[in-house]
Amino acid sequence: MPSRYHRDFLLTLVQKELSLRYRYTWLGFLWAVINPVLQMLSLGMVFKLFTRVDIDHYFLFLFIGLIPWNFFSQSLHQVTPIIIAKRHLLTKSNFPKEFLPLSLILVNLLHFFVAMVIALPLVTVNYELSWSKLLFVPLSLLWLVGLTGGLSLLTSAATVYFRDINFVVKNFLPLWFYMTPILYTQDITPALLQPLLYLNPMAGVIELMRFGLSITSTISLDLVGSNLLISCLICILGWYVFQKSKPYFVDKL
Amino acid sequence: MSQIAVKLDKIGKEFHISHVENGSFWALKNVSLKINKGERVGLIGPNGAGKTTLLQIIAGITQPTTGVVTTSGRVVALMDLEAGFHPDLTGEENVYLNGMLVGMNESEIKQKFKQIVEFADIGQFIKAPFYTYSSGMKFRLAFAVAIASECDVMILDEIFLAGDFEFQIKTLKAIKNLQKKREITTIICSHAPAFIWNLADSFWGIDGGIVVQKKKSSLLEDIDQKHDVWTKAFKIDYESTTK
Repeated sequence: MPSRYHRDFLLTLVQKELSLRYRYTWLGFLWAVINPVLQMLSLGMVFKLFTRVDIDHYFLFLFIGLIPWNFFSQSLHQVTPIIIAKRHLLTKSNFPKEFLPLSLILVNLLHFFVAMVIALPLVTVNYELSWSKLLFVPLSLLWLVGLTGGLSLLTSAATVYFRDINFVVKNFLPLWFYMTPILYTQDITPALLQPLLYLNPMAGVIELMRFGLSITSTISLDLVGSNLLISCLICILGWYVFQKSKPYFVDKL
Repeated sequence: MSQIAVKLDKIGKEFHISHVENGSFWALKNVSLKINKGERVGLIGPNGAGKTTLLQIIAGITQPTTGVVTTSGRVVALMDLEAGFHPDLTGEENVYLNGMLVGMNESEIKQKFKQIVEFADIGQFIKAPFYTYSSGMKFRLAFAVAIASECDVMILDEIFLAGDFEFQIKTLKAIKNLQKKREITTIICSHAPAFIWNLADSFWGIDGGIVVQKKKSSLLEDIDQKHDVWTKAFKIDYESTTK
């Protein structure tokens, strides 16, 4: 089939997803802005006022951590049940099944960029950016998308066979949030939790993104290395499992 | 020389179902058939005979457990027509989404958009959300999109039942036109031979997962018999209401 068709189809899925999400709302796409800002404010209040975290520009620091995390967690949240949710499309037509996860990831990527556009001017005002370090930002974004894509392919395929996976993901994500250096940095992570960071690829992504934006001045190469390795494994595994199992999705729905 | 559009070679399809005694159920058993390019094929069988499974295998939606399928050209399956329509999207948006599900790209749909809306005859409602449609309108739009699709092999699964009498006639005409105008292969499927008598030249019967070729003339008996049963049942019902 022509690639023209594939491009059109994917774009239509993205468009449909986007317009459905904000349809019949008063504020429409503005929610894409309000949502992360409110989230930052509520988390920031708790941790700034009650626990008195000692980090400069804490709200901005937090916001830059939340943007990639939201992309990751919302994608995973939405993509995991997608094959089952869209069974009526899959039993009707033989289109590339990757489009369902991919379209959701693209929608969330758009939200990522919207939030970044708000955050970047504030970052340039409050921190001294370095051009060479800035190169790590697109790299960490690439890493983030690859990891999220691979993991959500894995969970969405697995959910077709074991529906519990959907619940596991939903219950595990909040815990994962606190285990990831979003509210804090690797430096101030208690020694007890340090080993966990090396197994948590989102730690590396967020550390690298903050380092790229000169929000933090140090980064552990060990952390980035081990996280990158795990991410690659997840990505390959996710892709492989999805490819191997997708011909049989329809029989399990 | 006629070329082959669809070739099934010893197709079997097994489903694993936990509530069957040994956990396995063969929906199709050793099905072999050849369909030539441009042929008009009818497939007849009662509910649960394996019709939809067979069509899904030809369309590549599901994989056979045993055997080999070969198809040439773009195969489009028109089954469960309204399934891809989202209630919150407008008619127009649904036309684009579903047009793509049946294999059209954006410019093809744009080109045919007017024709689709005209055929469905839903006028201003095309801009309204799909949930506001009556079930007849839903079916008409779904059918109009499906029939507009450009393909080499078209599979039509039980699509004459919805829609009012007039639209059913329109449906029949549209399918006939399609068969006449374009060099496409059609596989039309129903539990009732009377629906598809005029739309196919060669017939296959399917029951219990086994497919056998049928003579067109032998189907007339079946049609008569069903007609008899139906009229009788209706008569009794009618009499009981008038007493």
